[in-house]
Amino acid sequence: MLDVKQLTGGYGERTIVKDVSFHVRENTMLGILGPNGSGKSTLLKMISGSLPIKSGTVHIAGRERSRYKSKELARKMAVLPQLNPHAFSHTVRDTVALGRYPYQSGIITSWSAKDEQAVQFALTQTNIAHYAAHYLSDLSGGEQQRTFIAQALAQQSSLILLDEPTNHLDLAHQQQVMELLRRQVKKCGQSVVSVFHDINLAALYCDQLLLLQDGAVYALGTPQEIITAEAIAAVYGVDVACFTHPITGVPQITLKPLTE
Amino acid sequence: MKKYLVGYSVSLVLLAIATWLAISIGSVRVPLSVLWQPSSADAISANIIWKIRMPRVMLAGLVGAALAMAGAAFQGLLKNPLADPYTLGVSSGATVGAVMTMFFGLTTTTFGLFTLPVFSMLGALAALIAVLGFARLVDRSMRMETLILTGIIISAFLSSVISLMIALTGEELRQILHWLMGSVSMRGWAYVQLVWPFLLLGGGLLWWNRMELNALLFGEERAQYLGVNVKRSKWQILIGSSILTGSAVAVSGTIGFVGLVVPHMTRLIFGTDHRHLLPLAMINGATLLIVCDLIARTIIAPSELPIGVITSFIGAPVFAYIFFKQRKRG
Repeated sequence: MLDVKQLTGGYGERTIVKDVSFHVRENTMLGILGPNGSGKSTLLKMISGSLPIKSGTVHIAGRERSRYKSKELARKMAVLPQLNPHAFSHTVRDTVALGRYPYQSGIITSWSAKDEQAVQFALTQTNIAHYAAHYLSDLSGGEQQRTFIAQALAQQSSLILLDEPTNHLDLAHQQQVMELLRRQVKKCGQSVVSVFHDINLAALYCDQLLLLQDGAVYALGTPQEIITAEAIAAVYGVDVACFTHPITGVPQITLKPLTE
Repeated sequence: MKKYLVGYSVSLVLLAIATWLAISIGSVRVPLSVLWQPSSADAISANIIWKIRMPRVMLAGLVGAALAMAGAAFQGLLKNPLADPYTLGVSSGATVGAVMTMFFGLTTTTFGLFTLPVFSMLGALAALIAVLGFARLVDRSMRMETLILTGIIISAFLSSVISLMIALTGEELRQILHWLMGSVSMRGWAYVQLVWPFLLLGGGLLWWNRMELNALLFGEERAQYLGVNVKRSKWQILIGSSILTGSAVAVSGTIGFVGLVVPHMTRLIFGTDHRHLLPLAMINGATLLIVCDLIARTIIAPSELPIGVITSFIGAPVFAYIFFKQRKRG
C-alpha cells in the first residue's frame, strides 16, 4: 500500500529525516515512535507531500506519489495533521462533508447517495452525529479532533496518515478512536500510518512499530520486537521497566521513578 | 436548507425594495408607475428614470456586488476577517492602474472601451501580489495584523503615486479627484455595460472555486490533503477577486469597506459555506451600495456626498468591532 524508500529531507537546508525505508501492507497499522525532534512529524509530512523530498521515493498503491493528480491522491490517501486554530469555522457536518471533495467535480455541486452514506457512516463511527449542526469553533479540542477524523473517514481512502490522533483526547475517547482505526484496518482493509507520543497506546494497537532516532530508523518490527527496555533507553534516554500487558500480552513500559 | 431559502428570499426582497426606493426618490420624485402606465407618464419622468436613475442604481448594485464578492473571497482565502479590497490596498492598486490609463491617455485599440477596467485589474493584481509577497516576507504565518499593516503601507505608497500623477495633470485634476472619492453618479449605461461582463467573469471564477474556498478555510495544508490543487485555486481566486475589484474601481473609484461589512454580516447570519456566502454577499452587497448611494445623494440635497463617505461611515466602526472581537478571542 505504502512503500517508502530511502527517504531523506527536511526544512530548507536542514536535513531532518535520513534514509528512511519501510513498507506498509493492506490491513496494517504502523505506529511511528520517537522522542521530540526525532523527525516523526517531518517524516509524515514528507510522505503526505506537504514537505519536499530531497531524495528517495514514496509509492502509494504502486504508483509514485507525485504522479497522482490532487483529487486522485486524496481518494487514495487521507491525512490528519495536528490540530490548529482557524479564524472562521464550518459546522461539523460541513467539515465532514468536505471529505467528499475529491469525489466531486463540475460547476454544479453534485451530492450522491454514496457521498451522504459516507458522511453518515463517518459521523456515527466517531460518535459526533449529535453535534452535526454545531460550529467547530464552539467545540472542545477533542471534539474537533474527532470531527477531523470523521472527515478523513469520509474520504474513504485506502491509506490514512495521522499525526498524534489521540492528542487532546481523554482516555475513553482515546480508546474509541484507536478501536475505530483498528476496525477500519481489520474490517475495511484500510492501512493506517500514525505518529504516536504514547508508546503504550501504540504498542497496544499497532501491528508494526517504527522507532526513529535523530531522523533515522532505529528499529522496525512488531511491538514485541521493538518495545524493549534497551531500545527505549537507547532512543529516549530514560530508564524504563518493561512488562507484558495482562490481557493481550503485548509489551508495555513504565517509568522508573528516580527518587524514592 | 430552509435557512438559506429564507436568506435568499429576504435578501432579494430587500434588494427589490432598495432598487424601487432608489429609482423613485431623488431631486424629482418619480413614481415607478410611469414605466408601465405611459398614459400617466410625462416624457421627463420617464427620461429621468431611464437615462439617469436606472443606470445609476444598476451601477451601484453591480459595484456593490463585485466588492462584496471580492471581500468574501479575500477573507476566505487569507482566513482573515479584516481583509477586503480596500484594507488590503488592492483598490489603491486598481486606482493607480486607472489613473495611469487616464494620465498617459492610454486607449489601445485592442481593448477599446475596456482599456480602463483592464488596466485597473492589472493594477489590482499587481498590488495584491506585492501585499501578499511582502506580508509573507515579514511573517510567514501571515497574521491578521501583518497583512492589514502591509496593505496600509502599500496603500500609502500608491496614494502618493496617485497624488503625483494628479499634480502633473493639472487641468483634468477635478475630474480625477471626484472619481477618486468614489461615485456612481452620471456614469450612464455605458459604464453599466462596461462592468457587468467582468462581474460575470470574476464572480464565475470565484463560484468555480467555492468548495476550494471552503477547504482553504482549514489552511493550505489540510486543503491539499482534501484533494485541492492549492496553487491553481489560489491563483484563480486571486485573479477573480482582482477582476472584480479592478472593474468596480474603474467605473466608480475607491469605495471602501463594502467588501468588509457585507461578507461579515452574511457570515454572521448564514455561516461560512461559500456556496451560499458568495451569492448572498453578492445580493446584499448590491443592496447596501444602492442604499448608500441613495443616502449620499439625498442627505444634503441638492448637493451630493461621495458615496465612499457613507460606506466608510458604516464600515470603519464595523472594522473596529471585528478587530476588537478577534483580539479578544486570540
